[in-house]
Amino acid sequence: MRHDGLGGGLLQPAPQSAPDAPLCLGMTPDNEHSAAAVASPHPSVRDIFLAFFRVGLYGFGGVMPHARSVLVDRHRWVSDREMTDILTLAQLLPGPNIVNVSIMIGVRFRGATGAAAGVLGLLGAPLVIILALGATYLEFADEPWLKGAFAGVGAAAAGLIVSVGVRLAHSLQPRPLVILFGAASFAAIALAAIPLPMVVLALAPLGIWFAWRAER
Amino acid sequence: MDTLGVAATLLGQLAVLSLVSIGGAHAVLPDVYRLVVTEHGWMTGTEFATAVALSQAAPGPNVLVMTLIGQYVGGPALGIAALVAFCLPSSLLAYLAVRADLKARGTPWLRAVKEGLAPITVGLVLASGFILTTGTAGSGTTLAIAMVTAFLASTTKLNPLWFIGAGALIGALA
Repeated sequence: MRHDGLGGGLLQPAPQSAPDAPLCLGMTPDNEHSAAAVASPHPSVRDIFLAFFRVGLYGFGGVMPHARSVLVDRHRWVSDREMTDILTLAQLLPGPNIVNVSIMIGVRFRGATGAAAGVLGLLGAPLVIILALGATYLEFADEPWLKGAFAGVGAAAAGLIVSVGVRLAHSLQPRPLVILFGAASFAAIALAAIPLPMVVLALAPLGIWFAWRAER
Repeated sequence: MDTLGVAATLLGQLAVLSLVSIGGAHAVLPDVYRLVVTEHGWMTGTEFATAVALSQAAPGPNVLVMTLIGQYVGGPALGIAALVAFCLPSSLLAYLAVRADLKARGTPWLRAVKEGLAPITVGLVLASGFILTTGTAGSGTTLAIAMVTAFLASTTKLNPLWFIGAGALIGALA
């Protein structure tokens, strides 16, 4: 993750030019274009619902790139730089990142109603699809000839999550404290089987404190 | 445990996990796994991993894995409730954060939070992958699928669906 553009202007209009706008998640490089194009948009509750409806229905293998293309490039509701700020906060807060993004965008333009519209738009259609998929799975889960296929699918998913972790690890600077905290949270969950709330409540304040001290 | 007890246990746990889910749905999978597989045996490790796979293969955010788990444990209504239980607490927090942070104060502080949480998040996601891999490693074949997928998905830009399709094919033939 990049450092710039964290606090200032999270919800304020974008500066006219954002030459140092960081590119998050390897998205579109035309941030100048996007930043300049935001002319106080006024999406309705219905617009917000439909935009996140579109985001939710894309997203094979990751929804976030589509969120950026819909919100920044297509609708121009936020600039590229604002989108990065929103993403940063969405990642810091607990909860699914994209759900947090839909809430932040919704609140920004239409308050609590907008947030609800964003979340419902985002999750409504995928929810129906996943319920149908789950029902189909339950129907056939006990078929002997499919058991092997389902086991293989599950194993692939396990490997995919490992790869997500590996890619995230590559984005960190390999300093001793970073490695220590990464190893500690891994060991606490995977090896010591300590419940996540305890792990987070113990490690998060410590990690933030060390990072804060390193800043000064 | 009766149906209501099962629902209350699952939903209560998901609501708590929601508030500590830095890193999103992936980070809490070990705790959910422990609850529904290890402690209560409501699903097997393979069924759990299959739910994760289906949620990755379907359109939409990965958080929908909570719906599949709930649906498996107690039917479609519990599936919907599980998604709400996991999303609502963190969503309220996000709402309040945006409301409180409208002036977006304190850049250095926010940066420290970000720097401090990043390695912890990475550890949590890796732990998730580890738990799922060991949970599905019933045979040499599944372990090999998981490890090869982990390696190739880390080093190439192949669409995840390829790995899930290949996993299904190899699993069915093996």
